[in-house]
Amino acid sequence: MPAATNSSSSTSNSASASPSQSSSHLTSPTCSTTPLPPSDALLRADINRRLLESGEYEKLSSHLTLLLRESGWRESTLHTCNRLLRDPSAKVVNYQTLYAAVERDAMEGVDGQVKVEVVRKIREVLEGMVEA
Amino acid sequence: MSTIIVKRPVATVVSPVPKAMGKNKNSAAAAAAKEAKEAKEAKEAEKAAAKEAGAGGLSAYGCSHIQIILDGAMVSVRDSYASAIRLLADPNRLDAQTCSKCNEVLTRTILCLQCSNVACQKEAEAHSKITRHMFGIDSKTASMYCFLCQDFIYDPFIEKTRIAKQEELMEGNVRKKRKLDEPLKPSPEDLRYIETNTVSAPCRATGLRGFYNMGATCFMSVVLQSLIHNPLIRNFYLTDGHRARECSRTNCMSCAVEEVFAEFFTSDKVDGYGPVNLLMVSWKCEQALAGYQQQDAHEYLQFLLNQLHSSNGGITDSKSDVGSCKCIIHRSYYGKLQSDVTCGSCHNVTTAVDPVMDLSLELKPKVEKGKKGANNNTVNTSNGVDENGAPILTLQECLERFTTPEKLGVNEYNCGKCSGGSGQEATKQLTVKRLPPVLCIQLKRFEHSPSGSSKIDTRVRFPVQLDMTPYTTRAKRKPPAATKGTSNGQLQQGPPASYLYELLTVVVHHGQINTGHYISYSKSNGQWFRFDDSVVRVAAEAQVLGAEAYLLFYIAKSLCTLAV
Repeated sequence: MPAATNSSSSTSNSASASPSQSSSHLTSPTCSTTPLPPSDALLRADINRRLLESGEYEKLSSHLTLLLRESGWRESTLHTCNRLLRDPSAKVVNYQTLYAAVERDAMEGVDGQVKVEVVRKIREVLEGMVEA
Repeated sequence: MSTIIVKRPVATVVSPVPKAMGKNKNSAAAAAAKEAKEAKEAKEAEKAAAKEAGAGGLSAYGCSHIQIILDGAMVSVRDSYASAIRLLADPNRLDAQTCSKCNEVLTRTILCLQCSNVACQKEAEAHSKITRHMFGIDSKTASMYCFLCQDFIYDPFIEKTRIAKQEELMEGNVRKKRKLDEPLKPSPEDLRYIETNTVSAPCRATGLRGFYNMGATCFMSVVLQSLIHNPLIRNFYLTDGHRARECSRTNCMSCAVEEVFAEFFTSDKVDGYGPVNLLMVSWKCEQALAGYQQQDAHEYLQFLLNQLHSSNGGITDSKSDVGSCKCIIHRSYYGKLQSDVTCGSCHNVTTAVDPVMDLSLELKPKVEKGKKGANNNTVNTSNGVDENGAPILTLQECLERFTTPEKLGVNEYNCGKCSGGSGQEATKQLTVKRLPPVLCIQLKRFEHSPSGSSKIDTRVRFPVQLDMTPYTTRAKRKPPAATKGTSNGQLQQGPPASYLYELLTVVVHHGQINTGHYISYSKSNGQWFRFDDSVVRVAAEAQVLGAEAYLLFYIAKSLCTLAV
């Protein structure tokens, strides 16, 4: 089944090449900033749709949320936000400025173990999809 | 691949008075007049609220931009917002929606208030610039975002609409008229009376105090702390639920508990509190508690709940249905378990419903009876492993085991229907028929056998947000295929709001069975605290989640907006 093998290899490539990118897709609500080649974009959209329909997306999402809580990331980011909001010199006045101030450190502050674990889970789910 | 387009009814925010349409001008005119009157009343109420709030220099609107829109078309805004909420609450809709511009499917999108546009954050900004539609609704939280302010805004009118709509949707469109809906506005005389006869609570009266250990009484302290930080119980006692002055009961546990609440929430002492009265009353009510031995916290919880039930007007008549008791304890903790026994030969199902005040979960897998050395549990490493390489057990797994059908032993069942007599195979399944507002889960760590007692130290991983849907009777009734997503484009949405729980308190037992120590963690105002007898400290969420839990208290998420 050449089609299956192709998608398997391309998904595993994208999964291993950029773990931060896959996990950031789950946490960041923005669109991907770099335009993907048409076939990749279609594939990605198709995979997303299947993940959503099977309920796997929701499971992965809540697992990530749990991991972020357990590692203390959520609380630490919350404290950072509160600190910035209370500090007049930080000049954080609304949601946009707060997000801009916090985004980079928050993304980088995700524990490596969490990233590894999430990528592992995603891979598990995707491999399950390919076999099916 | 087709793009998913979200369509919903949107009222055009143009003019406050809708055009009269239809054949019957009279009724249309009447309807229009009614709407105009409603809008006018709403506007007047808003102006009155603005006046009240304006005295303190506060705006009664979320921001100046929403004020312009609301002043012009309050009803249209309300309708548009309400229909967005209805869409967001629909379990069959797409949880993740497609951005209409970049076609990316996301979990968080922004819905435009004034048209049916759905977009990701970036495209929503672009949309607002082009169309001059300045307001977006966040698909996850239904919060209102103002693109001019570049910020989430909290407008009183919008918030009222949101709460009302969400409640209506949760209660299945049956809008129960509650007493609190009619505003209980105190008269000016009442207000004056209140002013002159009350003293405001000091800042430090936050309920965050510890209990002195009066001799292995930590098992009591943890249970008391779980009640103090339970919003339903706390609110009951703080709103004069049990009037000690009018109580004529001897050895009343409620009076003793009421004393604790009064102390913790009105005095500014932060040192530990010695629960002398509580101890004395406990000993008088239950002989077995007298003495300085360490007791089981779960047993004490059951004792205390029972005492508070009977001293707060609880019905103890064995003939009447337990579920009809309206005491605060039952209203908080009462749930039902359904037990279905299926006969192996004739498949007849015998159903029984039992009242429960908590769930007790086994930690060890049950060895299948009759099969020696059977290992019917495949090792599940998908939840990660602990330091010893052993798979970590999760709370959800324990709940799943609890609600999974088990085979009854050969002599344990006698089918009434088929003539097989004894010696049949039967399966029994427990499911949760009714979920309580406050769910207490006990992990059975203490084993008592003729040869002695021991403690099971297994680490159990538990979530902050717990979805009880899979363990309910309703969910277990459905065939397995239906609970997974369908392939015709319908997305598997999250669980219905009423089955979601949020972690409230964790009671931890450290050490050996007889020489151990209890501490607890509770959440107060969004912050976790660690209660170790008389020492109360701020705790990190990660610390709480890593603790060796013995008792877990979860509160229904739908109550959380009222809880803090």
